[in-house]
Amino acid sequence: MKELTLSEIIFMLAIWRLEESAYGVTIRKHIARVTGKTYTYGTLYSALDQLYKKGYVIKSAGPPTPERGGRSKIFYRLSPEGIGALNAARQLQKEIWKGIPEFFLDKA
Amino acid sequence: MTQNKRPPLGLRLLGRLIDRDKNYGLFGDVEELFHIWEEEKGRAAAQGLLWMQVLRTIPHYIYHRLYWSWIMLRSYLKIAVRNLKRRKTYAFINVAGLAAGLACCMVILLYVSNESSYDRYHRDVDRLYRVIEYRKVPAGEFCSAAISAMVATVLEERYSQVEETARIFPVSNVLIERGQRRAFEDRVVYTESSLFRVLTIPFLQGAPDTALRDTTSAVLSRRMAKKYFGDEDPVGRTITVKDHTLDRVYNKAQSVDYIVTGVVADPPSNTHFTYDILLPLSQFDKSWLLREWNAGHTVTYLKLFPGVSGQEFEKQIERMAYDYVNEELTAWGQTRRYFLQSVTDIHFRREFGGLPIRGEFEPPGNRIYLYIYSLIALLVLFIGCMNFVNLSNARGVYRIKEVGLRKVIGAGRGQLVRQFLSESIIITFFATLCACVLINALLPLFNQFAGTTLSAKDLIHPQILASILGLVLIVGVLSGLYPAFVLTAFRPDQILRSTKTSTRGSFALKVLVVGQFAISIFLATGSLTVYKQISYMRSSSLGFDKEFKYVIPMRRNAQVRNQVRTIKTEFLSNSNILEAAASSSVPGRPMRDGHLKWSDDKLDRPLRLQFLSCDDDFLPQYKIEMVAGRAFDERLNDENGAFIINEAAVPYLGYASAEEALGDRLHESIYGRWKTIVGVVKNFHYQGMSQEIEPMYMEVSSSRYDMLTLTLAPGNIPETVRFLEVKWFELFPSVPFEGFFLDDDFDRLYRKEAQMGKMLGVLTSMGLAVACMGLVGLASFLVKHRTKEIGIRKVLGASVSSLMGLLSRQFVVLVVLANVISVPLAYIALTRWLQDFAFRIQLGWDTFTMAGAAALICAVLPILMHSFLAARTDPVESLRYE
Repeated sequence: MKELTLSEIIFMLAIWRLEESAYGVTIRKHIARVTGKTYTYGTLYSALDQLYKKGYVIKSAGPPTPERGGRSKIFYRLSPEGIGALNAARQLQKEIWKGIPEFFLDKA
Repeated sequence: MTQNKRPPLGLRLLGRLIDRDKNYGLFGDVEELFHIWEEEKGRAAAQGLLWMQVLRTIPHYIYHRLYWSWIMLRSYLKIAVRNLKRRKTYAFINVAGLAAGLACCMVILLYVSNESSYDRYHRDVDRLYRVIEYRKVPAGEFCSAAISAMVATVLEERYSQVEETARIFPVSNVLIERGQRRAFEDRVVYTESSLFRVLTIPFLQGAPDTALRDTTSAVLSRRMAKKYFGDEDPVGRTITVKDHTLDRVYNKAQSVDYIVTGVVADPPSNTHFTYDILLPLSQFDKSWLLREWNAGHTVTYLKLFPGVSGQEFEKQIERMAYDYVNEELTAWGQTRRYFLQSVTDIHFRREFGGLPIRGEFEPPGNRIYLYIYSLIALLVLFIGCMNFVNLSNARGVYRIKEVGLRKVIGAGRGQLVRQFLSESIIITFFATLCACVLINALLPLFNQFAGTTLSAKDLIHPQILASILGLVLIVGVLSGLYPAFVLTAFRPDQILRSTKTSTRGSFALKVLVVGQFAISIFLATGSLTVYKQISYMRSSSLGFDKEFKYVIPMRRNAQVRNQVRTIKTEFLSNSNILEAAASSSVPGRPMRDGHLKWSDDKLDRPLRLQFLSCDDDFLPQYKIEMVAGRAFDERLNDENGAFIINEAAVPYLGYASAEEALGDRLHESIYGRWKTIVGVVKNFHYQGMSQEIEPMYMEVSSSRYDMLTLTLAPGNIPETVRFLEVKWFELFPSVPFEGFFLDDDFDRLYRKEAQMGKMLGVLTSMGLAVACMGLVGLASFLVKHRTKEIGIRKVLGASVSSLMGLLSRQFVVLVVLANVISVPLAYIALTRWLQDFAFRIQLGWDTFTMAGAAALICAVLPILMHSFLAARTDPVESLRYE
């Protein structure tokens, strides 16, 4: 399995954190708060589509709401494969950082 | 809340860029966000933020779009190449037809762009003008570019609008000597250094400002530097110039040494101003030539300051001469006006108010021929396009299943049309590449015909490349459009259900075949007529004998002129030289104007005639017949008292008959002598068959002889010419020897027409070949289409010949129809063309029949061949074919 990229990890963790309310607007807001990067919807959606195509997230349509011009929200959830991939990524991170003391970075 | 408001503009734009229904999640998000922003920051800020969102997606969108269209294009390309590979004959016919048409068009494009680029390369060309003089004198009206040198002086002194003026004084028959190298030069120009600031003449060596400062400095073109100095550096070296014009102006024979101070680039092919050697005009400073208002020898160019309107300035200088020579002009009853002619206008505009402009350097360009050539090239291209359309249509049978399947899979009609169009554009591109190869072969041929120096390298020029690209796109789209729309119009269920294929578009097919052949027949009639007219002009009796005549020009060389008699006797001592005569000019070369009048009275208006001085041997040598009176006779002192006129001059001078003219005394105004008409010669075509025979008179005056005509005995001509050369150098060691054969020289009069004939011939054969190839392709498809029918007919007992008749009948009808259409058009066009010739052929039915028959044969032969092959096949095989 290919490793997740950092932005994929950010997206997927955002979806996990937002639990039941993970859709475009909230994901974007959350990422903006955590990383300081504001995505356009073009980028956001193509990233989400990539995740969907790889099978890491599951899409589901919610009820239509009036403030969205009568359109449904698309909610995202992590799929079991997604959770597995995240776990693998965390494992990898741990391995990479293992034994590297904090002060090593401070010095540099 | 704002639910009922129309969605903001940004959102609507977004809707155009991406599919609203597929991406409802995204749209919902954007709209929701918009409302959040609206509540937090107000509508305007929300709008702004929304726009930011939308605009930031655009680059990605464009990239995406291009990416996908490239993917599609690649697929189209693949399909197109596969299709071409599958049907090689078809591909060959299509590409060859288009390539031939495109090659014609590209060559003509080069030619047209060269012709219309005349003199456009000069710096500030929109401010450059040439002064033209209009003169009306009792003897007639004249228009000339060679005018008084005073005009430039006055323009420079009096008018603040003029930035610079430059005068040139072109002379010919100049003898140049440098060591052992001697030759006559005809493109010698006296000028001043301001010329280099007015016209653009790049210096290879030397400085423009100082090059012509001294009266003894000379500037050579690169060609001349090479000719006289080879690989040596010419700057600082000396050439000796013997110029009879200078001699005449100062009234003494002299040769002048000039020091070469500069070398300039050779004149480009697209300039009216041709030069080889530039000499200082200051050479004439002490003469009347530069100070006389009534002289007319120098050409004046001027550069106006930026922002000065040429038209307005022209009005100011129009009557300039009256401020200086009013009295003389009035006394002579002369009108004189000055006009400006834009330098870029010189090449094409060779007349002014209906009068030909005199004093031009080179023969005029002809816009009409440009139009004719472009039109014909386009027609050939059109034939190629029609091939494409026709074959795509006929072949549609094979493509229609593909269309059906694509439709079933979900291709929209627009997409299919795009597919076909890109396919045809791809093929056209391919054809263009082939055309580029073809051009390399065509250009040398074309250059030979048209006397141009075009090269394929000229194609690499932004403007021309752009026009070619445009041509490719237009041709591609035009030829792809019809098949694209016809083939994509079917409904997929119809296509896929039945094996029967529609014959829709067969009417259009017929129209196109008729069109192709109408054009081909038109071109064929044209080239036949041009060819006939030329051979008529060449072969019909001119009224004089031009065979085996070798002419030696004397180049106004006084030394040679004075010894004409000696030369004649020396030459005639060789038995291979049969006759010799001296004259001022020879048929085919320009004659001079002379004026005749009956009395000295000022009121008597002199009549203008062409005139020729010749000695007693001239008329018998040229076998010009007498109508009345006698020829010149050595014993009768004709030099001082006799005229001979031609038949055309009889009514022009007001005589009822040739006999009546004999014995009349007339006054010749150039030499101011009274002479008697002693004879009338039969008209002879001394200006070629394209012009009327103008009234002329002949006289004996040894001081004007400039040509020596020798009749050589047939056989061993090169040896005789060698003898002439040897003898010549015995007599005149310092004068170069040169000569030409009269019949070759005379042929130059028909050069334009001969060019056109050859050009038409080539273009016509190309057009006809392309049309026939198309027909071959078409016939093979149609025959294949009817294989089963042929088989059944054969089984039922049809003979091969009846089958051939059946298959070719409709094409014969089409070609005959094409004839019917093109004959009247060709008739009208050719009658117009023939009107330019004073002596012309009658347009007869034979021409049209020949062209029509040729087209018919070209069309029917391949069809007969195909039908023959089809009719010969065993019906068992054709019926098994499924």
